[in-house]
Amino acid sequence: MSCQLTNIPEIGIEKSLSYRYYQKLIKLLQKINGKVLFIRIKLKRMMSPSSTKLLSKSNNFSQIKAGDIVKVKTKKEIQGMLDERGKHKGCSFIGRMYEYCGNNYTVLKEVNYFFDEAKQKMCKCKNIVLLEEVTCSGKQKLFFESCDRSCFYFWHIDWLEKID
Amino acid sequence: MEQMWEYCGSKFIVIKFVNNFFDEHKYKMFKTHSPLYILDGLICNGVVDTFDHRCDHSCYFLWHEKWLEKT
Repeated sequence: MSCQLTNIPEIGIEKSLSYRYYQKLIKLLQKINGKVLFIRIKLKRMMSPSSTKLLSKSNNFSQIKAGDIVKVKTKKEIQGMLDERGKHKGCSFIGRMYEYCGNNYTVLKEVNYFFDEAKQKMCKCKNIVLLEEVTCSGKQKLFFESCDRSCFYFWHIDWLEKID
Repeated sequence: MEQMWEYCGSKFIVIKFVNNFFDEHKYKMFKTHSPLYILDGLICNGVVDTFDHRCDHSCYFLWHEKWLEKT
């Protein structure tokens, strides 16, 4: 028996032709945007190699376990950790996640492996946790409709503070 | 999915009606063929035969309306 995610294309039907073209355009624009950003970062690093952020080892992980209560750090603190792509050690922080800053949540799970739907393969990761009831609203910029899948956000442990 | 059998005969609260979903692989928004629902607390434990490791993605199961009965 396989995962529902691997069969997800079978449960959907394509949108109208015009919407399909619109989605293709969005995909293309995002690809171009990604490439431009990549070149800009490369150039910036070449010009000033000292500006490259040193990746410090997270020593928070052993302390955060499923069932723990954690506080999401402030917007300012998190923004200070993100790179030009809005990522921290490879983990994206989406704009919608800022609404959870400063609030307390219970850790649902530590993420060690996850099925990457885009790459269609299992990926290993570390220092990532899921928080109870903190799911994606599905609203995306440029898309008219929101996704109803309600996926849990991935939280890097550096964005969290354990509450005793 | 195999794990979904254990919930048969039990009562759950519908938390969402799935009308549209985003397919990350195809990078497209799709409309569902038929009505699907997400039930409160019913998430995948990640144990799947075809995977080498347990997936921690914790996705909500998608339930077809024909598998459910309103009480």
